[in-house]
Amino acid sequence: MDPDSSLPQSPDSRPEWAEIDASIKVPVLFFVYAAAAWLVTATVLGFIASVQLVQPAFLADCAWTTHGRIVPLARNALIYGWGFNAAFAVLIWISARLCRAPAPQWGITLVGALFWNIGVKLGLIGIMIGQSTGHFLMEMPGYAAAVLFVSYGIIGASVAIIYSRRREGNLFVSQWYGLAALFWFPWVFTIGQAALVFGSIRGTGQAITAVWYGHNIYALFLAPIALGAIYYLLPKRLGRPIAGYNWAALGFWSFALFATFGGLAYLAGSPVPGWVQALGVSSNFMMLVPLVVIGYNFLGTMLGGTPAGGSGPALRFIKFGAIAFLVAGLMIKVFSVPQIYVTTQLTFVNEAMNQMHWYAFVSMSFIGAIYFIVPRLATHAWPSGALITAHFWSSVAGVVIVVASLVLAGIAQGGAINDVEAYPLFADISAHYSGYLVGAALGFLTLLVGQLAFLVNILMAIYQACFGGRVTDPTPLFPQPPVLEVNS
Amino acid sequence: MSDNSNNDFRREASGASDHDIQVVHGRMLANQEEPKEGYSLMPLFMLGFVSTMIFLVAIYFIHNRAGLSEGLGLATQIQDKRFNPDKHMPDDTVVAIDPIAVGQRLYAQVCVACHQVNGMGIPGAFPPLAAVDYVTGDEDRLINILIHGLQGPMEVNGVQYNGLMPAFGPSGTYNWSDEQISYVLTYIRQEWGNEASEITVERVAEVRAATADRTTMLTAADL
Repeated sequence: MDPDSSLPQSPDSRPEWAEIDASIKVPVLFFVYAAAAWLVTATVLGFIASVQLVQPAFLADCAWTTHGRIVPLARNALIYGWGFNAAFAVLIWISARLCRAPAPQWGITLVGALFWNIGVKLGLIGIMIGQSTGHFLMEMPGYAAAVLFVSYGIIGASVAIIYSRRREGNLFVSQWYGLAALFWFPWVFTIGQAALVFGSIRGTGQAITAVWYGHNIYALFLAPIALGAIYYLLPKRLGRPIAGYNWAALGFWSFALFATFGGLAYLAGSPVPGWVQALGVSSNFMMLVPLVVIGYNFLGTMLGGTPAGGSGPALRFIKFGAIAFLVAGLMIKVFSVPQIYVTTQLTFVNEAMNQMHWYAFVSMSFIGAIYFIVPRLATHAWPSGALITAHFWSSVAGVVIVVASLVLAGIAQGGAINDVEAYPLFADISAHYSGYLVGAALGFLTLLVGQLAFLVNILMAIYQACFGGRVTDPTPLFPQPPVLEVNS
Repeated sequence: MSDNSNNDFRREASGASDHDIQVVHGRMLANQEEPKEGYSLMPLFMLGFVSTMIFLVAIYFIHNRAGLSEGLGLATQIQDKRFNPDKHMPDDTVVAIDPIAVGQRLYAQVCVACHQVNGMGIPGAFPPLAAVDYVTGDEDRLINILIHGLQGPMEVNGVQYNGLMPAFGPSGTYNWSDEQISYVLTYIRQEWGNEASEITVERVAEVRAATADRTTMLTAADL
């Protein structure tokens, strides 16, 4: 059966693109701007937190800026501020383009976007004035979580409406991941919040729920959308289909089945039932199946021949994100080996893994997608190529420095804690690893440089989009792509 | 906006249209059952790989499933309104207690913060416990210090201290039982080269009863 036999003629006409892009332009550009602003905020907070680990007196005189509040502030700004705003932008754009359906009411999406960001701000203020709930990634007080939930409903509904109006008969792998994440997040969010913030389950159930929630915000929302962005942009940019595409379904279903329990492995060695820990470690090892499939899809596509359309920031960031996904997956396996986690468990290695997942994989993929999306929505090229180059190299250097420093700090810390003879005092242990934390602080500073360049470029692009004149025919800017052929 | 060499970098061209991506990949899925030219090892590798993973992980899980069967059994009972843990829990859960092991755990939870893992304290701030007469000497004096706490200037092994040791009896926030106090004291009296006798639960109870009317912390003069 030929899937395109029932479709209308010349479905890739210019007017259709222009109509789709115009229908989502305002909310998506707002999400992109908000995301970049939160990214800068989160990195500043992350830098302050890492300086405090080396110089505990830094900003410690004011309750609002003590380490115990800066750390959750940085984490929540990164995940709910940057991560979710960027994920919404990518999800809406990919959905509308791949469904070939314009969004009906962008004003409603924009209301959802505004309230999402108000919710994040309320939550961060709540943490700052000391109302943190104390659960990982659920630190925001209940009233902020309620605002987030309602605004997610508005944003999610507008994505669902795009799918209900789709004119494209096929469903590409990016859409599987996007649709799944769309419905996974409210499930994870309501269970976590109901069990720990609004209600309070007792005993070991509390620790288990908290870890499951914290891991799944990444594994069941941010990660699938980032994977969807990579799956979309690799063929889109390189002009070749995904290698081994018929395995992608195995990758998707095994990811859906095993990713959700991987977080329980953080509880290895803690006082929860043995089978809960075994379930976490088992799931982490079963994640080798989607890792191999997705790795085959990504690497096979990337290495399959010379790219069409030259180099560019979207392709560079997306490639970095794809490789970081594979490296992060292998690092998890290494740190799950009992002989190794005896040293690294509960050390800075955990934080290094968080940065690996959140930054090296998810954020770099989102940034790549944003570099592809914004010029098309703004119907203008990026204002500054130099700022893009600066952003890419400072991001690469910053990520590598932060992750490497934290891994080394964690190994030094774990080794010192296990060696009572050589490091009898707690102060000896922290003196032993603090040198590496200076490296992490410098890494955050490096990241910050690039992110400021990113934010400035986005602000200039939005200015151009608003006042640079409306382009009715973007063909000279974005020429008609060549016809995609199946690889032999 | 004039063309320059930088332009392609600032507006990346697409290599494929969205519709082509959908159609080509849809066709790849539809055609996967048809025999292709040349033989692909991929299906065979995937089958072997996935089966091996399931096999190995299942073995791991079965060996480490501690508490799963019991937990499921208990979970069904706890939902039962007639379930009474005092009556229905198995009796063999009570096991002999090793005072040294429990004492070590108590020490690691609380005492270690000041007296350190090696029992050497911090010179000038917190007194050591290793090779100190207060620890290895008179039993009643040591029990007394733990129950009521100790504050003010005192000299230990020639070094002057002026600190506060919290009370672990009913007047402090810890309010440890006679058992807990005896275990931790027995532990510190035989660790780090100390070789003093065990302190029994009964001895702690006697000292506690004899000094029940004391309301303030001890000072060096009381020793």
